[in-house]
Amino acid sequence: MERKERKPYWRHTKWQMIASVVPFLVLIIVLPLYADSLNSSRFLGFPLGYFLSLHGVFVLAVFTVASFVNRQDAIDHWHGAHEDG
Amino acid sequence: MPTTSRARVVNPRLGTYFGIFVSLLVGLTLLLLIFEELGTSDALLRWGMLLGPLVLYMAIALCAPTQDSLEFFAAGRRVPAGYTGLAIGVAALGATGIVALTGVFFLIGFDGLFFSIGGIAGFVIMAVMIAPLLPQVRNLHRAELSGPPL
Repeated sequence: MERKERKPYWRHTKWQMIASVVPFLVLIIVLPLYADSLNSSRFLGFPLGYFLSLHGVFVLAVFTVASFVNRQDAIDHWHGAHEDG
Repeated sequence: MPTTSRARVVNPRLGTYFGIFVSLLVGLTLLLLIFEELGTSDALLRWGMLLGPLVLYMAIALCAPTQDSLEFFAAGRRVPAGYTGLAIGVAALGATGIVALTGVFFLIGFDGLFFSIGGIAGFVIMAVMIAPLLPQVRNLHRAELSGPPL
């Protein structure tokens, strides 16, 4: 990567990090607050709040990391910092 | 920035090695089950279950010695990302995590979910905040990772 490309590269990477982490963290904090009221309805026999806190958060975590890796790969390619030639 | 072009070569014999290791582990367990049925003492079985896998791990270490940190920490990047992710997940959760999570759920029920949610959030933050820095360092020591980007 050329020297003048470094700043825009890290700026893109930083915003991409924030865009990936913040929505996930907001959901992690907000979901337990409403878990009690969600528990009144059921999904597959489980209380909905409990089910979402366990499986929903896990699926969302996988989705967040996968989309982050894809977008970071695109940024790496755009700025010529990709590893695989 | 030291981002040289590195071709990602997956070890073609990875599946074979993995198969041999899993076969040995399953074989050891079955052997110990047979010994249990034959009336071998519990202490001997416990030592067998503890030392057997330990000997296997040591055999791996002896068969693949290295002094290169990339080889040591990331197997020279010859292992596919999925396997590496599984290994990191297991290492990060660890035996303590398994025991502690079970204990928390046993003691305080579903309220113990905060523990696993915190763990998952930690994984995501670790992946998102540290992953972009990985290509920037040649060696994968933690001290280098927590330093400023090169």
